[in-house]
Amino acid sequence: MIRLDRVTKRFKFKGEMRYIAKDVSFTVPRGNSIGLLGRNGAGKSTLLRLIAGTIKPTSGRIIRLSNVSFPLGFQGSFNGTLTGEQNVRFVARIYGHDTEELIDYVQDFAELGKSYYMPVKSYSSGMKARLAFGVSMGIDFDYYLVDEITAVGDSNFKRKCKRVFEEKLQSSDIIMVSHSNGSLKEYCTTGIVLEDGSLTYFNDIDDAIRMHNDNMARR
Amino acid sequence: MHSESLRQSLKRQFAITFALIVREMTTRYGNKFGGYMWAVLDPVLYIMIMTTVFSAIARVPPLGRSFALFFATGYLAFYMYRSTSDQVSAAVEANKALLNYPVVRPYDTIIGRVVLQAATLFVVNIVLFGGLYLSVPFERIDLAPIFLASTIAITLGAGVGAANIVWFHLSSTYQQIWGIINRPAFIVSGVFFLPDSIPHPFREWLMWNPLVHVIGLFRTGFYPTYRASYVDMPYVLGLSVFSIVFGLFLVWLYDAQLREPK
Repeated sequence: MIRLDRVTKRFKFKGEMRYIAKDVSFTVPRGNSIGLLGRNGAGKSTLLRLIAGTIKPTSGRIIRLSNVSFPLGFQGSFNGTLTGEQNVRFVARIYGHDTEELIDYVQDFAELGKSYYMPVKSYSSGMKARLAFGVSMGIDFDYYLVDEITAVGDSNFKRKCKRVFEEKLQSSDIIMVSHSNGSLKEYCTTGIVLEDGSLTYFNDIDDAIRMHNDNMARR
Repeated sequence: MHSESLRQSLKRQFAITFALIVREMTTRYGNKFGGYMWAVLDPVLYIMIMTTVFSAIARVPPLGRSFALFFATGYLAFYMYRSTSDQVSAAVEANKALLNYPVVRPYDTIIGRVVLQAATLFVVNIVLFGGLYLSVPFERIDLAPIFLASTIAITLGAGVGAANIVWFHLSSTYQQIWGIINRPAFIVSGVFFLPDSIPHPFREWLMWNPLVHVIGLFRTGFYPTYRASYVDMPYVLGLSVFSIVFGLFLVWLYDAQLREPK
């Protein structure tokens, strides 16, 4: 379970206060996969990072009674000078996971070939996405936070993602940022729409998509 | 987060520190683990070159018979402070990408760098003074003041560096000014001279500089007859404890800002 308790997140943007969330409270029970919708710059990725705990709310608190993954974006959270394999080693260590097992899993999953042993800064964004995806899927989390990552990668990789996602959804939930209605409907049951600092929760992902489309049509 | 027992959180802290140290050692000099030997060789060679150059210019040391020993002891004590402070002040910035893992907190990067730096400096000391002993044998070594002075230098450096993580994050102007003001710091820290020879009132002013005390204390370990009566232990110990507590407090206070871009 993840609970947001009177969470406000704002930051100064060109001298003007911008709100991502304004005094928001809600509880996400286990067993729901959530889609995050909103226009560009609405703060979807920021919300995901808040939920992960890599950034802190301006006020209020976020209570996690589950094991939440790091935000999984195509930018990746990799050290550029380390090789893919060394980065995987690092993640295995900090999460207390068996190092060799995770290295083998990611090697098999990401199919990077020789590039696995090259510095990550030489990777294309598709390769980084594959590495990031492999790393997080190799570790068991209750919640996987996914930021647009399924948009990257070729069709083979997308098929692979789908298979592993479906497997993971048996016991884990996904919180996903996506502009693709197809992926949202495929993986998410509920949805959150972000618009002008207000956050609306929908029990049905279809309602969330409808609301988002209305918002987009309005402006 | 789940509530963890003390044992579990210590185990996790150890794992994260270890992971960060391995990543530092791998990336600081190229992408090879063995490249880290340069972290030892770099200061050793630098101090050796500086020592040779200054020995050629000034033949009579203020203390003992070897200018090389006089200069090396002073510079190394200074270097222990300076390198720790520089390393720690860049700890968060250098590990920014890794803060994307929620289990890695800004102060983990500090712990990682301080531990690695202390270990590195230990080896630097052994290699440098081992080499020096072969060329200019010194009468004796008293390990207690050497060890104490090293600990104070590293603690002070870690504290100043930790506070600078926050100040540098808040103001890049301050970062520039800090760099300029601190460049000549080793001139007024007593690397070349003894504070005993400085006239009043400059001597009293010099005594505010904690590094003067650290260097003086460090030298008493190599010069059995040197008393360094000016070393004010309560002052320098108090200041180093204050700096580390204050520095870590600042990092804790600004934890949220440090996770976000400048």
